[in-house]
Parts: sequence; C-alpha cells; structure tokens
Amino acid sequence: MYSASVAGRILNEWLIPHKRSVILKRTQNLDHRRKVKASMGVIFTFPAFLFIFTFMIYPLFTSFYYSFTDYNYVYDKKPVFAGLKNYISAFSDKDFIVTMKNTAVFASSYFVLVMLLGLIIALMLFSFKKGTGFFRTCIFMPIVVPISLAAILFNWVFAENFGLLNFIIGDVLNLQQFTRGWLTSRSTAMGTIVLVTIWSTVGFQTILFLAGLQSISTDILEAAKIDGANALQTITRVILPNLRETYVITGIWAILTGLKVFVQPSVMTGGSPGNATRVMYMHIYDNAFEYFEMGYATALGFILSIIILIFSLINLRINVKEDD
Amino acid sequence: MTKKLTLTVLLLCVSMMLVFAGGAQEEAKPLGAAVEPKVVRITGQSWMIQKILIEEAAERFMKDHPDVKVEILTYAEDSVISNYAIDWSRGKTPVDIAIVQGAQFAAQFVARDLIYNFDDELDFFTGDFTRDKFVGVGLESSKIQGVTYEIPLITEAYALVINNKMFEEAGLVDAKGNPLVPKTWDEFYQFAKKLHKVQGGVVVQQGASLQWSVTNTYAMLLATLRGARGTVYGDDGVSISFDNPEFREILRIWKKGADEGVFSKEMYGDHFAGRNSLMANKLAMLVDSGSRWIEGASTLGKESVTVIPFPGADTNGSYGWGTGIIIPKASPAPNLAMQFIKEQLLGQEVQTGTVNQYGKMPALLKYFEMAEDPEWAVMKTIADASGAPPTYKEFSKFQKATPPILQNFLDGRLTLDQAINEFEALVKSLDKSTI
Amino acid sequence: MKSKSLTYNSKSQWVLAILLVLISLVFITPVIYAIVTSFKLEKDIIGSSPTFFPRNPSFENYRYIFERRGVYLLYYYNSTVITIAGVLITTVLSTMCGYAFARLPFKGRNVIMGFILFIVTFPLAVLLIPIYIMEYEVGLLNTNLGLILPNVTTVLPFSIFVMRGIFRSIPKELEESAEIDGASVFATWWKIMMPIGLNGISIVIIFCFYNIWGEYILARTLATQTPAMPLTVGLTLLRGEGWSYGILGAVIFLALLPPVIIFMIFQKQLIEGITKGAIKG
Repeated sequence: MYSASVAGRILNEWLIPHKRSVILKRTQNLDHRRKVKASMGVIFTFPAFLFIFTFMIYPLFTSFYYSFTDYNYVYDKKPVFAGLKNYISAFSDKDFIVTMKNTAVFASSYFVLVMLLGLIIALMLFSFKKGTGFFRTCIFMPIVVPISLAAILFNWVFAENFGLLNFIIGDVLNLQQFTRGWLTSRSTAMGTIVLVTIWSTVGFQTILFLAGLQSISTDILEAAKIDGANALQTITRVILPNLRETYVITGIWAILTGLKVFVQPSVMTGGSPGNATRVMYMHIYDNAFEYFEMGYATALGFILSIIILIFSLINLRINVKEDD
Repeated sequence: MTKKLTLTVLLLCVSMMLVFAGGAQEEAKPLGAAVEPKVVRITGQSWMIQKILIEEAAERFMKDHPDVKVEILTYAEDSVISNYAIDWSRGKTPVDIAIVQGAQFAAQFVARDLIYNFDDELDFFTGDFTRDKFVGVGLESSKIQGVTYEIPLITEAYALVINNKMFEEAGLVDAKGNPLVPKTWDEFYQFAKKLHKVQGGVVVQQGASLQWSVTNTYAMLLATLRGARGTVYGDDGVSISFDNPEFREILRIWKKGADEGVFSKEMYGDHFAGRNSLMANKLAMLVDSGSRWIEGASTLGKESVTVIPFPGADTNGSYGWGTGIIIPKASPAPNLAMQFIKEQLLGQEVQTGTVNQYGKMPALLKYFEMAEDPEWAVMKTIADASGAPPTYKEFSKFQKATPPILQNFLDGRLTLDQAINEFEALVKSLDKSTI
Repeated sequence: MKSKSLTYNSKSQWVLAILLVLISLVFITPVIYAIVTSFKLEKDIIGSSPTFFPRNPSFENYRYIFERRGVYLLYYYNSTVITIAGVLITTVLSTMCGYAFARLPFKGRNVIMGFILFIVTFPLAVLLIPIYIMEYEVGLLNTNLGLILPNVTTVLPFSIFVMRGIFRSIPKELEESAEIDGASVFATWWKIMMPIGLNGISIVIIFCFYNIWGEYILARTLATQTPAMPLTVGLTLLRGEGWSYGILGAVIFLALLPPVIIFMIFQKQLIEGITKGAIKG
C-alpha cells in the first residue's frame, strides 16, 4: 500500500508536467524532496542491480559456499564441509605464495608504468595544437586487438632464434650482445610481459586521462598562464591536483588489470622460466580446471578478490574527498 | 521508506535467483536405444579434424550409406569437452563421438560413469579390429585400470628429428651418407656441439632443442627415462623413479648443454619454438614428437629432414600416446558411431593419409607397411617399444609441477641433488591410484 | 578548445610532434607487422631470413580462411549483435545507476556500490561452471542472448563506476537550478546530466565495445557450436596444432577491421564527446 503511493507520486511527477505548481509546493519541502530522490535512487539502480544479481550473485554465492568445502567436482559426489581449511592451506601452499609474489611484481610495475605513460601521453595529446587524429588512432589501436591473439603474436616477435626483435637488434642494428631469449630468461620474462600488457592497454588509460584533462576548466589554465607559470609548473601545480576524480577511475582500472592478469603470461610463458611468471589467476585456473578442486580454487579466488578490493579501497580513500 | 523499497527489490532478486538455481534433472537415457537415429555427430579440435582427415571420411561414409548423416563439430579447447559432462550427466549429448587426447583426459568422465568402455559395454575388438592389430602404445594409453575407454586413431611418440643436410656438413654421417645415430646422451651432446654455429655472438645454427616446455616437460621426462632404463617406474612398479644413475647422467648432460647454449631453452614457454626453428632451417637436432619431421619437410623438403631415435629409444622405447575417440553413454547412436570408426576412421584412406601427409602414425599396425617413407620403419620400432602415460588420478599435478623443477635446475637455481629430491618428493605426494 | 594547450611555443610543438610520431610507431608496428605477415606465404615467414615486407605477396592465407570456414560471416554477425546489444544495455543501465550513486542519496548506497565493485574483482574463470549450468537449465547456451547477458554483467560494474565519477564531477549548481525550475528527478537526469555527461558515455561505450568485442573466456565456454560462436572463438578454430603466423596475422587483421573502421568513422564524434566535458566556471 505504501509502495502504491510512492508509485503514484512518481507517476505524477513524470507524466503530468502541467501540475508544476503542485510539484513546486511539494518540492519546497526539502526533507520530502530528499525522500523522493532516495526512492528514485533505488528505482534507477534496480535494473542494473537485477542484471548483476541474476548473473553474478548465484555463481558467487555457490562459489562462496564451495570455498568452505572439500570438493573435487569430478571425483567427489558431494561437497564436504571443511571450514576454513582451504583458506588456511592457501597460505602454506608454497606455490601460491610464489604466485602472490609474482603477481605483486607484475601489478606494481604495471600500475606505475601504465599510470605514468597514460598520463604523459594524454598530456602530450592535450598540448599538441594541430590535429591529433592520426596519433589517437595509432595509440588506441592496440586495445581493439584481442589480447589472446596479440600475445601469440608477441611470442613470435620475442622468440630467441627467429623472432623479429632479435633480428632487428642483431642483424639490422648489429648489436648482437643485446639479443637474448626475452621470454625464456628470468631477468627479462616478467618485464617483457609487462611491456606487452602496457602496449595492449595504455590506450584506454590515455582516453580516461584525456577526458579528465578536458574537464579541467579553461579559466584555471588561463589564470596559470597569466600568472606566468611555465609548462612544468602548470602541470604539477594546476593539472595534477585537479585530476583527482580521474585517478580514482584510472587507478582502479589499473589495479584490476594488473592483479587479474592471466592471458598474457599464460600464452606467452605459461609461468616459465621455472615459476617466475606464474601469477595468481593461473594458479586459480589450474586448480579449477586441471585438478578439478573447486573448493580450493574458489577459496583462492576470494583471496584474490579481497586483495584487489583492499587496493581499490585504498585508491578510493586517497583520491576522493568525502562529500556526503 | 527507502528501506522497504529496497527490501521489495531484494525479494524480487532472490526469487529470480531461485528460478535459475532450481533445474529439473532429466533422466539419463537407457544404454543404446533400440532403434538408433541415422546421424553421427563427431567433434574434435581443428587440427584433429584436419590431420585425421575427418571431413573426407565423413563424405565417403555418407556416400556409402546414403541414409546416414555425419555432422562434424569443432571445439575450441579441452574445457568444452569437460563441460559436456554436464550435458551427459543429464542424459543429453550434442555429440556421439568426441576426439580427445588420451585416457588421462577421459578419466574425468570415467569417474562419473559417463562414457562407454569398449571391452564389454560396446564390443569393439572383434574381426579385423582385435587388440593385437593395434599399435601397442596406442591401446595402452587408452586404458584406465585395464579397461579400454578410448579407441586410438593416431599415435605419436617422441623421437629425434634432425636436419640431415646439417649432419652431412658437419661430417656426422657414415660411409653410406646416412646420419649417425647418437647412442648415448654424451654422444648426443657431442653431436650438438659440432652442429652448433655461432657467428659474431649470434646463433646462426642451433645445435639441439629439447622439449623443455611448460606443457610438455612431463612427456620429455617420461620419454628419456624410458629410453634410458626400459621403464619409467621404480621398484614398486607404480611410482615414477627419478633417483637413478641413468637419469642423473641425463640431467648432468642437459645442464652442460644448456649452460653452453648448445641445447636451446627456447621451448621454455612455447612448445612449438623448436618445431619453428626446425622449419626455419636454424636447428639441427630436435627432440619432440616424431611427427615433426613431416612438418619440417614441408618447408625444407624431405631430403633435408629425417627422424632417428634419441639414445635408447629404439631398444627401450620412448613415450607414446594416442589421440582417439570416446563415446558418451548419452549418445543415442553408439553402434552407428562404431561403424563409422571402423569403416572410415580406421580405414585405409585415413590411416595412410594421416601418416603421409601429416606425420601422425596410424593406430593399426598394418598401415605402417603402406607408409611412403623409410623413416616410418624407425618410428614403428620406437612406437612399438614405447610406454604409455601412467594413469594416476593426480597426473595433471605431475604435468604442471615438473616443468618448474627442470627449468630451475637448468637455470642453475637448483643443484642436481635438489632437483632429483624435488622430483621424487613430487611423485611421492601424488595420488597414484587410478580412479 | 583553443586555449587548452599547454604551450604555444612552436619549438615545443615540434618536439611534441616528433615524440608523438615515435610513440605512434611503437604502438602500431606490431599490428602492421601482423597485417604484413598475413600476406606472406608460409615458407617466407618461417623460412631462413625473415623480411619485413613480403617477398611474394599472396592472398593464400585469406583464401584458406574463407574457403574452410563458410560460417565466417556468421562469426561477425554474432559478434556484432552481442557487442551492440551489450553496449546499448550497459550504457542505459550504467548511466542510470551511476547517476543514482552520484547524486541520489538512498540507504545502503555505499554498501551496494562496494558490493558491485567487489563483483568485478573476482576471477571470472571460476564462475564459468555455475554460469554454464545456469544457462544450460534455461536453454540459453549457444545463443546470442546467452552471451549478451553475462557480458553486460561483466562490464557493468566498471561502467557504473565511471558514470558515477563523471556525474560527481558535474557541479551541483546545475542540478539545483533544474530542481528550482521544477524538474523531476528523471527530467533532471535526462535533460541536464546526460548531455553534459556525454564524455563519460563515450568512455563507457568505448570500454564496453572493446571488452565485449574481444571477450574470449565467456564466449569459449558458452558458445560451443560453430553457428553460435562470436569472432574471438571462431577464429581460434583456424589454429592448427600451432598457429601458422600468416593465418594468425590474417585473423588479427580481420578481427580488428570492424572496430578500427568504426573508430575512424566516429573518431571525431567520440573524441568531441570526450572533450565536450569542458564546463566554464
């Protein structure tokens, strides 16, 4: 009954604009107004929430349940409750610890590089007066190449004996001592994967930063110019602090991409040499699909989730000024 | 107020979830329905369809039996077949025949009783297709706990593929001009050293490349263990044994070769790198599946490439496996499927075609005689003596855990003793029971 | 936009130009290499001395693709349907939801926001099996709808987050003046916030587009029959035991042709959209 009157009120507002005077009287009551907005908020959120709920919640809840069980979905008939066993044994699984370390190395170097490069390239595009269409197309192109195919292509580019890169360095530039197995030696394997990931994804970061730059009001920039600030000062004192809202988005996206990395190391090195490039997602995947251990895999999945969530929240905290 | 609204919304969502969560279980179909539909649906990976000449086989079968239809589906990856288990456990199936690689993969279905065995449930080994007519290693790799769950269509085994032009140039040939065969791993190393050429710091000709990849190290280990000792197992006959003087010697030589660059590490992350190097005319010796020699011949010509045994492979055997088919119990046409297999897939056109065109060995012994090239005699010897993979429940752990140990050892991060100990500890930790 | 540049100095502009050219080269060379390789014969690629440009250019690889895979056009069709539907649905939902999170206070807002964010942190691969079972029960396997829905769910959280950020950065005065004029929440959203939020919408569109177009993990599991496969999965069927690099190059070229063409056509509008976020004051 109560919902009916809310619906009624909403219908009134939408469909009968000539009742403006009536609405005006009502909207003069601020507290009432807030309540209306609140219920509209729920309505606005509902469709998206429904989508997510149906498709993600059921799988997530079942996965959450499995993470507390012992369940090999091929050989066990039913999951057997096991409490926190999966979570605890994750931290004594030395393979998992190694993957955590590798993921940390990857994610941190990726995060720093992609944020820096994205910002720098955006600044360059922003400052360039003439048409940037061609440059934009080039920089954005790698993001539409499916990463799984790009990774195979780069496998070939970086191959030791017949790859393009060593060919260019060795035969064309005659710098033989710099040729090496890029993906087969410990010192360069992870770095190569990071670079390939940067190539494939920095275009999007650049778009995000460009949008942020464009939304800085021209007045501020004018003022800085009038005050005689040179480029570097304008950047550091005026632009960077104003990009806070953008850092939230680019930061979270970089964190997600960095910590959830899977395809590139899988295809390019499969975790080799040794375990040097084995990342967490690979370990989770193997446990789920090669060993069929659903219980353990889901627990590892949640551990990864929580780590990502923690870093995302840190990113949010740093960059958002609480305003409600 | 909003709380109530939020609650109503949540309730709606919960009810939607229940709609999806509940699902009626369908009853499994009875085994082999009385009247079978006249359709055979077969699925395989793209390369299997191509190299086992399935499309041509289907055409011939449909011509011979005009009332029958053969449908070919291609699957992108193994996980698709794994997911079919969900269909099969509900009594339905989109395919009647699935081409898979070995009983190891089929084990997940056997555990849930989802596929037929060919010993008694589907009486396959009769007439021209009795067990003795099959290549030994093919059948062996199709068994789980002694019961055959897969019919092999092609077999492969690890051998040593060489570029004989490079051998000639290095003087590694006998009086008749045939390439010398290394009888020990030390000889292997010496050959590779002779064949390895470096100019100005760049490798222009790689001596040898071994299958040290994350995907196939386990096969390499099993192949060389067997070649050295005649068996991969230790005294208990069940556990793979690494702690023996022969394997220690092998590891020692591998490390020496790797340190000197004579043995390439290119296959660490990419199990095709060796084959690509071979085809690029940059590699002299390749330890990989014997079928690679045909692939090398496609760019270099058959006179330039040949296949010989790696040390011990011809006497003690190598590691062999079969790629074959399984039939789900949910299939309504198992007998028609078997007919297709017997008439076409194990028939002459497919079995000789796959050898001559793609280098995949036949599953039936008699077709070796019809193979065009003399190399197949060598391969037959190797295949006949080879052993199939162990059918451990946790074999995939073995497959995944061995590459890091080997690679860490070759990179100098583990001593020989440490590596051996890790291998042994790994084998000890596995659930070696068959399902 | 004229005064948005950092430097007028023509020397710096030249330096910038050179840098941008270099960067663009680095980004585009691998793609060019793939395309160029697609016109080479197999033996020229793997042969003894690789050259950048084809010695004997040929369409052999393309012939192979189109001859063996008659359903090729079907892959394009599926990908297009899935991507366009996915982008549309996500855009509508994320703009509504993002606005709600940004400006409409309701209880539990931050909790739900956090929850939605949490969803996207979970590795998708593990959820594949429950999703497969779900779609199996409802008969959505091997349908385009069956791929649209999970894809939307995958890109929706981040899109909501982006839209929320965009809407938060719009000054409140604009909304308040609309309220005083007596506009309803819906009208405010539609008439005032959306046009200004266009730059954000462009970002969401780009994000959804390239993610859904190139999506592989879901597609591989949920589309097992060839007629239902989108491009990313269908193309992997061209892989032999190992990729032939000529065919790989052709595959990459064909996969990126539609998005690149769309981008080049709409580039102006899209980037204008992004740059229209400029607000005075």
